[in-house]
Amino acid sequence: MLVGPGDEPIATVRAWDSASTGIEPPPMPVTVQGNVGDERVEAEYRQGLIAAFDASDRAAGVWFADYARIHWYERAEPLRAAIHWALTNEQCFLVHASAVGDQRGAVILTGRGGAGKSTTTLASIEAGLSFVGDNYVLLSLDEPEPCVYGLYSNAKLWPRTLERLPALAPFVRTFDVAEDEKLVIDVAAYRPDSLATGLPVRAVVVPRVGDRSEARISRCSGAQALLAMAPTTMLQLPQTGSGLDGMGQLLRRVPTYELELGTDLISGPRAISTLLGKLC
Amino acid sequence: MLRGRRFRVDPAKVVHETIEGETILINLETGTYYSLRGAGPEIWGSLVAGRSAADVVAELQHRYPAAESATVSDATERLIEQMLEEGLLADGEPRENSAPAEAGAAESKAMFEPPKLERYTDMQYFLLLDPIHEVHDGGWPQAPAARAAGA
Repeated sequence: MLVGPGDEPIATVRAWDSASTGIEPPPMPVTVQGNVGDERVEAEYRQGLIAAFDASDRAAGVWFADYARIHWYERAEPLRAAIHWALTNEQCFLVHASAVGDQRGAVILTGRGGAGKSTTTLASIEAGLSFVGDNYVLLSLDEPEPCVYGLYSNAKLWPRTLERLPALAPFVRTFDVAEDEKLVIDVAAYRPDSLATGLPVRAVVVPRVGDRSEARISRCSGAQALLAMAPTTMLQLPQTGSGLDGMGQLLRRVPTYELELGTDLISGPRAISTLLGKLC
Repeated sequence: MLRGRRFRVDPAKVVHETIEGETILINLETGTYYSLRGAGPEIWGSLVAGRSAADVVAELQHRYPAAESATVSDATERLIEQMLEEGLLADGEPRENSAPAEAGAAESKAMFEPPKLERYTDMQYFLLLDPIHEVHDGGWPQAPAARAAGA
């Protein structure tokens, strides 16, 4: 059951797998993967997984062929499609981004894979900032200030990056990963006091890997930030035609920056903290 | 010749947002995304609102009297052709009540800047294969032969 801030029910999600229950899904579509949708029902299907959401009942069903063989990114971000369909409206939507902050508010870190979002997020926790989310967060514009909410209390990291943040090693779910698979860090176990949600968004920041030792923050255009945020969000989430307007609204309400990351990993969080101080 | 033609945008296929004078477009079918600058956002906004190519050219020539008429006309037509090629526009009447592309959209600049459409293809691998957008009576997408056979 997904519930809102006042414990009001938002949607019900039922999930099962055939391997353990013996219950099969409806007949499979002819194509290997795709998505379908109309005004009432959204569905996504790929090999071994079907997810569907009925907007009229506010109910989702998610089927897996075998729970033990769920893909690693589905394990790290379970039921993401169902959550996306249940929570998305004109003022509330998921974005492909991370978020960190503190009592002054949060910054959204956005950009396509490899930009340094997750590394910066985990380094920020190390540096004492709060963790809202990694990879996907929920943005709400239906409040006096835009706010960001967490969905999952984990973050993902390439194995080679763990060498730069060795304190995370005890909190890796498993090191038995394929070559193209990230390590999943249990942030709730690592720093339970760092978890935060519902923080006001003070800025959107686009990280990129630099070659100086110290990170630098500079203003960038809203269009640059939208270019970093929108394609990676809309092309990875099913049926997200309505999300672009929301992202545009957000970027008109908060300032946008580029964060050139330094080789000193903690300089990125320092720059973020300094930025939060300037914006509040 | 494009002059009298009007165009439409398929909202199920192409999404767009203009912010700070730059338009970002995403083709949800191909996974290609674009940045449009210069006079591009103005041209795009007028086309989305239902203006014909000829009307758009005339408006720009009036707005930028210092620019060579042929420069404005050629640049506009080149952009439209590019957009047709990319599948961002299609021939046909715009949808009813088509609004100009976003409030706070492109504002006129002091001088005519030729439109520039930058294309990005790095996200194409995320695209789901065979996206199907219609649920048939059978409840699931079905191959045409299966539907004909009543499967």
